[in-house]
Amino acid sequence: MAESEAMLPDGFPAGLRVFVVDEDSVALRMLEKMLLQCGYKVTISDCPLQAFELLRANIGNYDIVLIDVNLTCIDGFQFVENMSREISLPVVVLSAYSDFQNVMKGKNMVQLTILSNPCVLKNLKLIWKHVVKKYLNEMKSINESSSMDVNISCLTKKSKDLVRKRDEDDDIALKDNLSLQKRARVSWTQSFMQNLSMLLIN
Amino acid sequence: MDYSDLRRQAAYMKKSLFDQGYLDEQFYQLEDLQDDVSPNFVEEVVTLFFKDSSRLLSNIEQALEKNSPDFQKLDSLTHQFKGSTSSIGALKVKHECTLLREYCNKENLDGCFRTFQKVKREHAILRQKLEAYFQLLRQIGPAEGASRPVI
Repeated sequence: MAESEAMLPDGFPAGLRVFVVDEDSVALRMLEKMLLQCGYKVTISDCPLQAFELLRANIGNYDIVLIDVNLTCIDGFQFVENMSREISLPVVVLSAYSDFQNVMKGKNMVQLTILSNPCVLKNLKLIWKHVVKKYLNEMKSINESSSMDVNISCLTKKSKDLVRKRDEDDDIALKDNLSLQKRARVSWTQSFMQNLSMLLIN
Repeated sequence: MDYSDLRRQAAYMKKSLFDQGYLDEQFYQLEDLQDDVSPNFVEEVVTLFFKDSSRLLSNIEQALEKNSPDFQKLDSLTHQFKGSTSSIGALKVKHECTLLREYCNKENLDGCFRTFQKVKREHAILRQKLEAYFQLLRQIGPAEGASRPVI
């Protein structure tokens, strides 16, 4: 396969499709701008319930969800938990509370990545790692379904390089996931494959 | 038009806002987002802030004037308002919000009223100061105004 020789272009992770949810329109505007400056594609929503419906219906259109957990209409913790269970995208939570992580752990919830809000640009730049990490995790559970198989050794190598270059965040144990040397056959979601193919072809 | 004079004025104005505690470093984050694509980003976001926060303030006022005020609702509204102030670095306003929340939690209506007046005052003062600042920046012109004046 030609793709087996191809490397991810230096542009990656430009064009990462981020869905941002924040009820505060000021914060939302700033987050949008920060993410655009990172080279990401941004969809914004100030209504969590509408956002949930949109994501459910169009999951193939996004790579990662960023959500501020301080919600007025519903319990933020519960909402994020429900969403993470139903939607297979990586979710990054923004919270103004520094002890959110402890609260989440205490409630035995799905371990999520939490960034503080207001956000700084360099933290947002790193969110692509969650997307790579999630897919590499999926690699481990090899799934011989009828969906597309692909040789991802090229992705593994490029991801290693990217991590080495940009490894500022010690919380993310990507290096563990990148120990796979052998080629693996995995199935990917249709959307990610489309994105990846586009990147590989360019 | 002596631009260097105006630039000095603008720089001084901005420095005062920080020195006097009206703004904090978060405002720098906001300024950093201004670029060629959005050359008036800071003013746009600040305008959005004052529009949204004014609405929240009148909601808080309504909630306070009820016969038996719902302190949880008051707290929730104040929390929202405080979140907005954090985004643009409105330090003094944020501080008064923290105090207001404390009075809400203690269900101290008198304390809430008094502190709310302070919140409104600081909000109005900041609005005036920032409007003056942006007016000055506009005089300097888009080419000069787009970049951060050197302190």
